[in-house]
Amino acid sequence: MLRRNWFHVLVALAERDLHGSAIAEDVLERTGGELRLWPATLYRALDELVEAGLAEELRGDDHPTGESQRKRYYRVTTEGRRAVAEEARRLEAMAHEARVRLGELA
Amino acid sequence: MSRPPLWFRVLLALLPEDFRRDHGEEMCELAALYAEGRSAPGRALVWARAGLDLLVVAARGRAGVLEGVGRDVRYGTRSLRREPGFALFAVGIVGLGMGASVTVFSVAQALLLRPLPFDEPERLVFVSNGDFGRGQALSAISVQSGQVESLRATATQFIDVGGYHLFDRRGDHTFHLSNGPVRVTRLRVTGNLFDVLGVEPVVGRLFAPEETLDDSPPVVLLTYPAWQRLFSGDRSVIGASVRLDDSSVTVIGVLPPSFDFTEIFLPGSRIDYVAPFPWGERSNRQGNTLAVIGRLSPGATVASAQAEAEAAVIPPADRINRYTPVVRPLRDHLSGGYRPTVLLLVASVALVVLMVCANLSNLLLARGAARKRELSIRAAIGAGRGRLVQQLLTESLILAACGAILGVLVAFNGTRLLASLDLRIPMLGHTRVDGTALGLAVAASAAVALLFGVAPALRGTDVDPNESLKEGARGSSEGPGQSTLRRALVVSQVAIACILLVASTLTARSLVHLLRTDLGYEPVGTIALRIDPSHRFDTEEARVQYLADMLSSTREAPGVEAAGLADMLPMAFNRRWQMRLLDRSDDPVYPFMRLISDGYVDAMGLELLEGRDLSAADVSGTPTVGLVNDVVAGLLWGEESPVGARVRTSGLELEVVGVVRSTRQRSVDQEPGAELFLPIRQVRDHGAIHLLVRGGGPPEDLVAAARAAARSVDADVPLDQAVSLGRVVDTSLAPKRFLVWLLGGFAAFALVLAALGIYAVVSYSVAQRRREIGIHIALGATNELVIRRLVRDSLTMTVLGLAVGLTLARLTAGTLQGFLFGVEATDLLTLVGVAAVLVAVAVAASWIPARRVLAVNPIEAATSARR
Repeated sequence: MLRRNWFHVLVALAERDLHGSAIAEDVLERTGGELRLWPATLYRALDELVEAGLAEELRGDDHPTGESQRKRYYRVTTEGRRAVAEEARRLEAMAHEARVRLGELA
Repeated sequence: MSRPPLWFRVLLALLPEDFRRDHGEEMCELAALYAEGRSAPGRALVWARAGLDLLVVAARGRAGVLEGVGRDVRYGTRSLRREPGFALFAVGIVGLGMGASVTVFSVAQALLLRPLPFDEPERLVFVSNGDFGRGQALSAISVQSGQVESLRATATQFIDVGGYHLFDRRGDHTFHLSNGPVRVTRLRVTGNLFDVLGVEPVVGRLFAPEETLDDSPPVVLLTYPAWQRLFSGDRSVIGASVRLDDSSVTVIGVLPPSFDFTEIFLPGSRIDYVAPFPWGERSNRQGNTLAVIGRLSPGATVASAQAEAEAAVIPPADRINRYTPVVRPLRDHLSGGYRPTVLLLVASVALVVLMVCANLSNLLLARGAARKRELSIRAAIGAGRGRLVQQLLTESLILAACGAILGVLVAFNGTRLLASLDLRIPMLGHTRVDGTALGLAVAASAAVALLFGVAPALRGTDVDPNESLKEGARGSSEGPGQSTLRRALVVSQVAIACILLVASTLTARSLVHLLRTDLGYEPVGTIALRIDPSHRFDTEEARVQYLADMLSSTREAPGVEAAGLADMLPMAFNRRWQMRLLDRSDDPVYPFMRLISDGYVDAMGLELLEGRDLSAADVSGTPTVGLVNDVVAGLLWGEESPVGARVRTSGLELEVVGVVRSTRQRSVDQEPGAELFLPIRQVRDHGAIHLLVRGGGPPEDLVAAARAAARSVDADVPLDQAVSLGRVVDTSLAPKRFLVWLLGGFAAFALVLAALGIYAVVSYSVAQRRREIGIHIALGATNELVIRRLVRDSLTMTVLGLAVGLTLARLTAGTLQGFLFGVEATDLLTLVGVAAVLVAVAVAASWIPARRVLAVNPIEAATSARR
């Protein structure tokens, strides 16, 4: 099971490489304003993700063209992708089970 | 973009250094992004939330450090629990000291510091009538409305000037609502007063200019509590017509809940609705009626406003009374008179806090010395000095935190008690412990803990493990420097206790003097019942008949010795009328005027010096008569008898028929003034009246008798506010009594602390000098000799403390004198008494621990070094 914050950060990074604020904005938007990642929590999570090998920090010359050189950009690793996919399946399974029990699905 | 607040940047320092370096800037940017586009409070909330998040993350990252602190706290709690006496005492004195100071600070805040709840309150001024002295006496603050109109017409230094009518009284009117009549209290104001104060209605509107003239259709504003109480906050009452007394009025608006007019201007009373006091000649002719409030123009000063007010005074021919405007800031007028008292309390509580600090320091020093061995052992097994200091400081912080909690509890209850007391002090009811006071308490206790914990901690941990352990068998010892410091602390405590004792004894003696003061009347044994016949009688005959019937039926009631009527009770309202001799152009006098009936003189216990009392025959239609007091007689007639003389007052001509002895009817500590008494059966100028009944029985029986008698005459006349006159006088002394209790409490606390300080030093020195004492005794000194030496030692400290304290008391005598009545601040008896008490306490506090030498076995003590 993937921590909720980690999951959302990795999902934000799944499409393209982003810096911290952009990740936070993406999460906020995607969760309909429900999950606001406060700064210390976000950057702590990014540090931990890098440490766990699920994300990596881009070197300065790898930054997307035209983007700020000052900010730190992050990219999801292959292992990170696998972890997100697995978590997505787990969530799907749980959601499916819930709907079956509620009688929404046969 | 919103910039990170300074405190947020400071918090960043809590994060591990590499984390801060890598992400600090971006964290600020993200929080700023969240804050963008919000209102100021919204932004503050976002930053606060981000700060909280930062704290949580930082705490998780530094769990190791927290663990160390946790260990210290656990260890400290354990070591304090081993000495519960010490811990409880330390927490107790810190708590009481802190509680007292926060309470006094909250009072100072309410009375002197917190802005008045009006728009730009610093620009509000009060214009009083300097011709009648200073202070709160109604005649000194009332102005005739023509003066206000004249000032308004020419004002450049004032944006506007308005006022409120001073002579509206409690429960004088009746709202006839669907569920029955309700007695209500009116306040009349000039139509512009709310604009002057900057008060907006919560519902409806304020008075329109055309509603503030004579004969304009009657409109009223409700106060917020009255709107809630009488109309359940129903908005449809706005614009509705309500029956008030015998006519109907339109409710046009509701004043905001923050507009607590009574608490600010008329503490101890209540206001239900506000009606306009019309501008114009009719109001002007009523004489001095208004308390005047102005709002200064931008750039105007009190001095420039004063000059303008003086220039606008109407010519003598149009004046009904003397008038010299005195402009001063509104807050000065409201609470300026209490400033010295509040400052006295602040100074006293500061002394108490100093004493608490000295005591705590003393305790911690003693404890540090006693724990030297324990610390040496910890140092010997490898604890660094920093570690030991941190440990000791944690202990003082635990003590301070517990003390602060107790202090906050004390302060909350103290302020609640204060605010609920009926002391008639403006804004005292608004006293509460707010964030500032709490912050101050927390900061102060932390400061006390650090300041008074650091020195003992540094001293206590200055241990050389080898040396300490080697001499360990002899127990710890302290150097001469430390002993001098402890003695100096005791001397200062005695000095402080001395000052506080002197101040509290003097104020207490003043109160005793006040209680024994001859008032000129006899309040005990008399009750007063308020009766409101004003709206029940159409004709003068009916009114006079009602008064006569009520008096005679009251006098027939069992237990009643005398009964009379008056329009005002002592110590409450007063009004002054101009009075001069007929056919003479001397300067007029301004006696306090009271409407009374026959029987009043006996019911009050006044002394008739010459002439006759008023009689039941002095009714309208007969020649007007009056009584004067001996002050008026002295002023107008000198040695001659005024009986039979004719005087003119407020449009009346009357004959003086009697002279009574003067009374202290404004307050117990004010000398009697001139007084004039007119027959209530001849002059109708009154609202509600008071039936005064004297009798031998308990006050409740008198009240019941008076009620029954009044009801038997007319069951529908409203009766209320039964009160014994003794109580009225008592209430007027409540603030003074309260000051005595507070100062007495501080002084008692100080005395206990000083005694404990002496006790601690002596018992400590007995413990320290066991060996020396043992040798003395072994060498032939008697126990008595040793005890006497210890007691003498403490007496030396006490005498030094007394010398300092009495000198300071002498130096501050001038300041203190202002609070005293009938006793000099340098009163020898008080000073000697205080000195004697302190010496006695010092002897007792040193003799008890000194007696422990009796338990010293000389051989054992003398040889203990070898064991």
